[in-house]
Amino acid sequence: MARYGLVIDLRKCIGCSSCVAACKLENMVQKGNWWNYVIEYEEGEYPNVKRIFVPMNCMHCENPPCMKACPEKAIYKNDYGVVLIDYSKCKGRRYCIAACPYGVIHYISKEKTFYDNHETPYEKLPIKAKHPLHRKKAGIVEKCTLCWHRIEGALKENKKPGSDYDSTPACVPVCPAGARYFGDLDDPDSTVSKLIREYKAKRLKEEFGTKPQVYYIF
Amino acid sequence: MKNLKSLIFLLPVIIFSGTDVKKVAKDIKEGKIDVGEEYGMEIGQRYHKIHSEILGIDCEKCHIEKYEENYLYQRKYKLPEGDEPGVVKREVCIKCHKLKGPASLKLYNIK
Repeated sequence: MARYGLVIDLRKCIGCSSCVAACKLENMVQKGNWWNYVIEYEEGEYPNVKRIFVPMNCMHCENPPCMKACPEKAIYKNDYGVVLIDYSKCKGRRYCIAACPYGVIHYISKEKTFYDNHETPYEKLPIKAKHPLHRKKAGIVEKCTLCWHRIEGALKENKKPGSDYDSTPACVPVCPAGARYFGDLDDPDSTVSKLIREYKAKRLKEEFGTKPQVYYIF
Repeated sequence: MKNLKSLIFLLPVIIFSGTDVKKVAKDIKEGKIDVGEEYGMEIGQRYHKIHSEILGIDCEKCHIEKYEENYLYQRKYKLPEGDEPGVVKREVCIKCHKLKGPASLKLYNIK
């Protein structure tokens, strides 16, 4: 069974936030929440300074503390290593938010539309017309799904996830710098595995023992 | 005398470790201690009450003035970043909540 993950090359990332915008649009993320976000900071001292951009999304950890913390067992890891939230079980207790060391889970405090007094065509859709992973409501939590709806679609069509635009997480193909890679971490011949080996890609906050499935090339 | 000194030094550790914390957790779960139903870390909410009022942990033990520039925590740009007396660095949590810590939650895989 494949185990999907991401590799983000921080040497290439220019902090344009295309991934942020693509994610927001693809998943209709609640106003004020971000499944994907770019953290910026500076390193070095003048004149030898450089700006670092670190795109952050759910790390889809091998040992997800959010999953262990959830008293409702609403967070689960599927067979492909993707950590997902069952919105029908979530009661918004927010243990997961307190447990996540990356701060990537968000609470939907109240349902807001993107524009005041105006609903977008997507917002007008009845809840049942949406993919189960998009059936969010107020009072629950939300986070990146690694665009599971896209991966799932590809698997149903016997396509290899990551092989074309529609079967890849939305944040990956939109990156103008080509800094994001998606693929099977268990396949030694996949691009992501090769990059991890070649550049000794690192995972964030390894001291927590969460074993994230998002790798960074520094 | 040396033993007494070690005991005094270890007293806070002994008090905060072992059964006390576990008993508090049990009492909260059984409803003997009321910490409210508002699940959250902000002042007045459940987790804040547990740490501050029930366990009596000083503010400075958890709160730092601000995140370091390179601190990678997505929600640091959201509230309550500016809250007094400062933000909570997640590394602080694992000091107690690691696998064999006094308030082990088995959340993180740290021994």
